[in-house]
Amino acid sequence: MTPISLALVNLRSRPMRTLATLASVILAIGSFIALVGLARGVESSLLSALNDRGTDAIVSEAGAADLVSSIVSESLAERLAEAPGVSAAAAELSRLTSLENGGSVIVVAWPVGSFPWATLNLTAGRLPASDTALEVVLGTGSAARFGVTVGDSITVFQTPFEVVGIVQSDSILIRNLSMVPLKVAQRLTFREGQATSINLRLSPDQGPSERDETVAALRVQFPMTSIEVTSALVNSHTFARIADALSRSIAIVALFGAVLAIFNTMSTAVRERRGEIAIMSAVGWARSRIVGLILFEALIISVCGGILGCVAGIAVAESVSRSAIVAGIVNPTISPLLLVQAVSLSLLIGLAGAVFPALQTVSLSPASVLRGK
Amino acid sequence: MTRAGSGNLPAAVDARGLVKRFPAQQTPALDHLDFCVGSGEMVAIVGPSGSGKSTLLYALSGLIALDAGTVSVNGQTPDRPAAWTLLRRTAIGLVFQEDWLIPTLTAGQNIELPMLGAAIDKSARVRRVRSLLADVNGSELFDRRPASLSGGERQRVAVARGLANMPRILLADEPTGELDTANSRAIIDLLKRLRAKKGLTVIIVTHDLQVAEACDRQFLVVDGRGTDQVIVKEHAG
Ligand SMILES: Nc1ncnc2c1ncn2[C@@H]1O[C@H](COP(=O)(O)OP(=O)(O)OP(=O)(O)O)[C@@H](O)[C@H]1O
Ligand SMILES: [Mg+2]
Repeated sequence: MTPISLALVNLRSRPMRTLATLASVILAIGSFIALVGLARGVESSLLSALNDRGTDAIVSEAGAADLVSSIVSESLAERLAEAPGVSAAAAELSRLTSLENGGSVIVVAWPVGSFPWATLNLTAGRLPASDTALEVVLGTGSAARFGVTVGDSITVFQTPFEVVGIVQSDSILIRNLSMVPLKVAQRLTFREGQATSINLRLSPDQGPSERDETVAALRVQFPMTSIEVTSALVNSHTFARIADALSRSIAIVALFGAVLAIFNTMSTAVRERRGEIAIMSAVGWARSRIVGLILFEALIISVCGGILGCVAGIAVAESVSRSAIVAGIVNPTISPLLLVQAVSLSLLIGLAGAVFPALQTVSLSPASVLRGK
Repeated sequence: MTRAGSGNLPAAVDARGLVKRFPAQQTPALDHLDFCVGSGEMVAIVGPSGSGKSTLLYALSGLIALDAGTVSVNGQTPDRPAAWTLLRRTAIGLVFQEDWLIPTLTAGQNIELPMLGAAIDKSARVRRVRSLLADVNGSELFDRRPASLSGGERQRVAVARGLANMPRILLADEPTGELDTANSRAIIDLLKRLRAKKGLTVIIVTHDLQVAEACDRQFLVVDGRGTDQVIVKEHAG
């Protein structure tokens, strides 16, 4: 027998209780991993989508809640393109639109010939030929979801479009986009002359501080707009922030639940095992050793629950990200650091839940317990 | 007070003026009781039920807080619970009136428990458990759980547990109550052997006349007060 096997014997002697407690820790850590991972996935897919199309900064309507609900004039692009430090500007109209099968797709439109088109990595077909062509370019993910390829037709904005090209990308968001000419999108959504944002490409010869100066100057020159460099934009994105806040609050509730479960289990165990604890004290176990044994038992449950919770959380996040509603929009981002954080959290859950029950053993009087058998 | 039979040996246990009053009790469980046991002595504590014998053993091992009196063990007077715990880990072995074996552990693991508290090396622990079980005629009990043992078998395991950390003093509360004459004899012989070999001091609460007579002297407790009862025999040393 070792201290570890003694703790395991104690946990095994109440298998149902141990498993139920373990399950609550798995639930807590699993939801922490899944929710935080998915929320970060929202952020990182936004960020990589912007970076992939060579956009350094985004100009949108001042005060708009997010990019899709912002409205700016398409003509703003021409004026921005002439501003110092800006090498190119492209108006963009994005729409989240539903499909016949109930799924949804993000449609993005740029003027034919503008720089975002040029950054796309075509694996088949070509880009739209003219501003008025009813032609669509699909990311590989969209093409797979719709089951179409170059030459097929799909319906977007209640209008049939011909698929003329397929693009590959590292960004899950771009893989799942449908891209059409700006003029066509404006006409079909009754937004002539409008855009949701302007993509800016800054002159490549600028260093970071010069870029900041350029952006600051643009803010002065175009006061009715919000101009953000892409990385900062992701942080201020309302949707990403809501996702993050929601996931955190749900995870915190689950974590508290796990602390209470451990507390309940360990205080019941201490109550039931008063005789054992009195004997340990009577045969000379130091109080710290007895307290340590109780804490150790709790930590076995919580850390095992933490590790299993990581596995469960990854599985849940993966399966959620494949479900119809969010497929292609969110790719769970579960970093090794997040896993380390989760296991450390499980350690804290164990300690926080068990510390009071463990200390209760100290106030136990062995003689009075041993008398009353 | 008397110090029969131990005149030239230092006191293993020296208790003076012990008073213990439990709440809601008219007469104290210990009433100005003096009790002194020489090192290597073997003393039987006898007396009627409820007279305070178990309470005396608890007092001698620091398991209850006294209302008055002092207890010194091997010349030390522990003043903090931690000091008593250390003594129970190193110098005092205990056998309780009920065996108090832990039901989820095997007999061997129950005996190992005090050694685990004393951080004794693993292989040494297992070796010692085996030899202690052999000493109490219980080698075959190693893997058995307390629920499957007879009352006498449990008592023998409890005695082995009391001896686990090789204490200098063994306090045993009716360790032979459930044993037949042969096994009871075997326990007494074992304790006498340990006394001869290691100078073990033995204090046994017993109702068994044979066991009491096998000891050097008998200490009678009545209504929480103690007196030496019978003349001491020579002990083999
Ligand atoms: N924790 C306690 N609370 C209240 N009263 C107690 C407690 N422990 C012992 N007593 C009382 O103190 C007295 C002495 O008890 P003790 O257990 O020492 O007797 P004993 O001599 O060991 O008896 P027995 O031979 O039946 O074991 C009894 O009257 C008992 O009821
Ligand atoms: Mg008693």
